[in-house]
Amino acid sequence: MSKLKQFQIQSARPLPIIVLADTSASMSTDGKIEALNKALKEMINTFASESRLRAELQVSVITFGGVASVHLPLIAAHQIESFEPLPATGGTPMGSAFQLAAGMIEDQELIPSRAYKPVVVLVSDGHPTDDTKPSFEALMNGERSSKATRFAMGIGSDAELSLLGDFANDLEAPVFKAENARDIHRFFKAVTMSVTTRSRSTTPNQSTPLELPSVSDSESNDEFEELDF
Amino acid sequence: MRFAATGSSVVGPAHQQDNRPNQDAVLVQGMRKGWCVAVCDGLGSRQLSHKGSQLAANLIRSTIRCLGADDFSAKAISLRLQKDWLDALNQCPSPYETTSLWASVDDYGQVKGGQVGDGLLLVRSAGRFVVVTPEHSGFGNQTQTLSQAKLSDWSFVETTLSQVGDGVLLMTDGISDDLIPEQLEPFFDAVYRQLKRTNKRRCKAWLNQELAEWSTPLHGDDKSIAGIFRTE
Repeated sequence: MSKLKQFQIQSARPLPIIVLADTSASMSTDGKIEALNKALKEMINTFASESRLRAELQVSVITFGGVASVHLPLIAAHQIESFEPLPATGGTPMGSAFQLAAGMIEDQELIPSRAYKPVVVLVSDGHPTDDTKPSFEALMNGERSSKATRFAMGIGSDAELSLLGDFANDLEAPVFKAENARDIHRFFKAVTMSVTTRSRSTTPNQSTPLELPSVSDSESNDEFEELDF
Repeated sequence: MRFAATGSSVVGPAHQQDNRPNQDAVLVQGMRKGWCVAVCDGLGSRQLSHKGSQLAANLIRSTIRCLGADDFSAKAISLRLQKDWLDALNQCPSPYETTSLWASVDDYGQVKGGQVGDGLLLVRSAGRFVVVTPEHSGFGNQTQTLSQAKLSDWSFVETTLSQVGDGVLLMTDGISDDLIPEQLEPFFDAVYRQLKRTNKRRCKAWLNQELAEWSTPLHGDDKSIAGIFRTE
């Protein structure tokens, strides 16, 4: 019988995935929020069903529509029983969402130092309606948050692409521009692949670049409307 | 005054799955006047890190022999190790990156040790247990390496094993990241007690089995541990 087992932590190392989702009123048009909800649900379901992992995939969703709030607190994907669809309303307080994300990553009670470095995904279709500068810098330069892998997607032609570009730190996958609902799905499929590839590898702390599936690979043709944003 | 040393290293499930070599190296070496031990963890992302970690472990032995632990500080030995390792790789260390934890104990119980990178260096001296490794605030598997380390990245220890049960214990992060922080001293004790009631060979076999049966869910890393204890 093992004498050392009693000293060993009986939970897997976490790999946190934090989604910052724009849920402002403009997301309610052209099926954007519906596409986002569907893509998020699929990502969570894939994470929950993944085996052969070297980490416990944990997901949190922070929304910013009217106010910024934690829609889904950080939790193991396989423990998420249902995902409440995100409503779309109000302005775009992206700065407050950055603040929530930075606080989450710096919190060592929530994300212990044995965790693999987090992945932060920013999705937005518009311009921030609050001051993003201080919280953006806190997220970019925080002792722990600066180490996160960051992916970004701008939805439609009104997205603040320069800010999203500054946010993303994957050199091989700069900010992704979604022109229709299918692109939202492709982006989250790529994020899902990147995370699961990482978590299966012998080096789960190394970022895996986003590889966007081709349009034909991403979904059957009747799954999403072709309407451009 | 009597000292005993032990050590073990096992390939982690992730490397077994990918048919890759153990990237850790462990050293347990008797010296003319005591013991030296080391554990080095080659970076998983580097192709030849298993060779880099083995080289570092071997150089610790030769560095201590060459300099003499009696006359040189833990800092001097660590910096000489770093220089010798870089020289041996012609100053091209990138594919060989590794962490390094080492300790030596002479026949008077004088301990010297150093650490750069992930893992844990534990010491009990005069019955007082100390975690030499500073707390790290980042994330798992993000480590400083032997080639990149500045002086400020090193941790050093110099003390005396003055009581029975004192000792020094080193381990790579494949072990240390999965230990309950409040249980480090009982863990240290468990290894000491096993070594005291068996011998180096049997203790190594016991450690091999314990590490092979590691119970943390989804663990994947290689695991290495080495220690020197005062047993009488």
